Amino acid sequence: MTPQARAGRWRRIRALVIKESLQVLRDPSSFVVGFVLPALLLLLFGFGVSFDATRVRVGLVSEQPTPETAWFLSSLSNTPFFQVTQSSDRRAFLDGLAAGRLDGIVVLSGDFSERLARGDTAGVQVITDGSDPNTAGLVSGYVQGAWSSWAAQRALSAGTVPKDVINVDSRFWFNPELESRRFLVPGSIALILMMIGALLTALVVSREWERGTIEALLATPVGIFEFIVGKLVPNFVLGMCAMLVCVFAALFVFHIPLRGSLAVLIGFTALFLLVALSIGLLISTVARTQFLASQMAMLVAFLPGLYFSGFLFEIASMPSPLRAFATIVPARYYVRGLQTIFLAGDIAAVIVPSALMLAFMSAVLFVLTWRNTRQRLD
Amino acid sequence: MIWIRLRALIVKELLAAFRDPRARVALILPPLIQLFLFAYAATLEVSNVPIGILNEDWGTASEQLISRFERASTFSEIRRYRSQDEVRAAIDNQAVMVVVHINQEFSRQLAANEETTVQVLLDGRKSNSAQLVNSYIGSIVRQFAIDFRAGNATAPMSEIVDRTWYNPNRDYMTAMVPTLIASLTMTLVLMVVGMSVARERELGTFEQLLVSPLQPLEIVVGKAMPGLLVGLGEGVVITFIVTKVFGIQLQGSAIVLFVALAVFLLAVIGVALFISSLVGNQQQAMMGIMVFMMPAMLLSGFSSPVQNMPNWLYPVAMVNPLTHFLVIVRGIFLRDMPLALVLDRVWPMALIAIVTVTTATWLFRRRSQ
Repeated sequence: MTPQARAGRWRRIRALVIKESLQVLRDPSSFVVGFVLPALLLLLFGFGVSFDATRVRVGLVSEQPTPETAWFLSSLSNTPFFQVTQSSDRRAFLDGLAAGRLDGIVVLSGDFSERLARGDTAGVQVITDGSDPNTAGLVSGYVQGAWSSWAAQRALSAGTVPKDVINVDSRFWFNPELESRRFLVPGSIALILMMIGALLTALVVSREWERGTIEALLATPVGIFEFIVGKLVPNFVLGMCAMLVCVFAALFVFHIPLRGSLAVLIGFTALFLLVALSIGLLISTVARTQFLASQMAMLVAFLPGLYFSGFLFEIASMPSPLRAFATIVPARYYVRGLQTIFLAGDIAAVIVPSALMLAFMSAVLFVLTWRNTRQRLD
Repeated sequence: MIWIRLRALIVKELLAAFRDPRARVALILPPLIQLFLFAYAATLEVSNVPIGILNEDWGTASEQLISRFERASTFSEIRRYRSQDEVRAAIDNQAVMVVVHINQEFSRQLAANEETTVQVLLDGRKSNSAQLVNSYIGSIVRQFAIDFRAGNATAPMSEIVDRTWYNPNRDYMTAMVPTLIASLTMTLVLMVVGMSVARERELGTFEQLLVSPLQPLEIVVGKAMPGLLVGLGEGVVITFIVTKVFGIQLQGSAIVLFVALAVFLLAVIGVALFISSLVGNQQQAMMGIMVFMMPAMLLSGFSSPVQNMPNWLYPVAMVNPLTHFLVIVRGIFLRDMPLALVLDRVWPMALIAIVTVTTATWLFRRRSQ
């Protein structure tokens, strides 16, 4: 390539980048995808979604109140997690459980104190609502815990040896407060970038196909490479800005620690954004209408990002075909790295393999897009 | 006369939604894919994960405990580590989510009837999974302690009777799959109704519709009916798949479920008409639908319980039709919810439907003037 040709190429790319940037800035829907949806998603995942059952609504039934039942009940209702209503008859709560107004019922049977005195199995029954398995598990876990600590306390005050001989001392690293927000917010950043990258790019390029302006553009000296770069640069910048806004919100609104370095975070995000943009470009070359492009972007980019990135659902628990599929979902590698950079630090053993995988994916996607675009025009 | 006009409009709308083969695929395929994805992928359960062990104890008791972890279905394999440094690296690299550390005094203390401690180190980067794994390990250790003592003379630790109603195994698939009747029909109806007005507006045929003898109310009904029919049809198909393919029994009455579904869909249709009366083209309609759909999904109790939300978000959840319908779907499918309790949740949806449809009609009327 002669110096003149190279200079011409850069001039063309610059002109295209300016044209595309203006187009992005003028279009209200790219404003929605670029700013409104990310802010909405971040706020929703930060405030609206939580697996921390901090307000479990339980009904407490003590069929025959005695000092001992009162003692146990007070230790149960003292936990900040429970929102307790009391009654002496379990029938008072059955409707509440059926209507989903209660998460569980704890019943102390009429012979609670006699059983205790006999050293028999406890007269405590926990009934949980299986239509929400996560909360059901937490309710019975809390009650079990309250029961064993109460039993230990009671044994201690009675002077007998505590019966729980093996204590389990659990340490939760990186997130000792166990806030689900701390992994949901980094995960939602991945979803947001996927959406900006894939959905916005797919829409912008498929509009050119739909309106036929792409033929006009490629009839000019602009080459395919220049066309692709021109499309990618403005969306890339938009995505990086959205990332910075998200990181800012994560640190100062949601108070999530950033234990790794900002430089690693930015570099890693840039790689992921490249993958997302390439997916969007590839979609736009396959789907030529905006409606189809948006449907495909949802199906190919957004849903896998939601299900198979490991930020909501545990990949290891899925059946093996789905586990195999999850290995080609880019969001999975990004979420893994992002959670590590935020909560644990710059751990090379996690970040380097993930980054290499993302680089490989973007290279493959780029080649596919390049070939596809060329074929469509021949 | 009005019926002939209405019927013609409804037939036209149904044709418009399903004539284009690619649009047909785009409407039918995603719900089916989501149904199966959701059934198998959406689990908060933890299974098949490796567990790390750092055993500094030379006795037999610790090996007995480890063999219990080996047999537990939660754990796929045991990875042994020899030092604290190895443990730290393994958790940092996410090679394992949890490491159980057994100290060198374990067997001796247990044999001597003294208190002993097992340390569990967990990766809090995924705090929900880590909590679940922690409670599995806790129950394995507790059971081990009880069995170990059973050989001795002391009384066994008293246990709580733990019952889970409606879904005894706390199976995620049973709990999650029926809720798709709500979320998938909502998505489909929003698309069909929201896009149809936007498409007409983009093509310029909406003005033709407005100058035809059709009244604004008739246009609204004509646009709403296909959505209702398609949504109900999809609801019936999904219910059929859920009961026959996934084998989840419908505990309550199917008729009550479908009546409630119709009210829910009317509320959603009102929202879709409202969105489409504001936008000018399909792309904007798509954005409007997304902006409504994401909060509607995430603030409905679909992915995490409503009561975990902060108080200021609670009113938002209450004006969301999906919140109410999810309670009904879960209630009728799994709990055989009494009719009176179902009605408690139907009237808020009816109210939402009246407000949204009226607003949309008013907006159409304003446009036509």
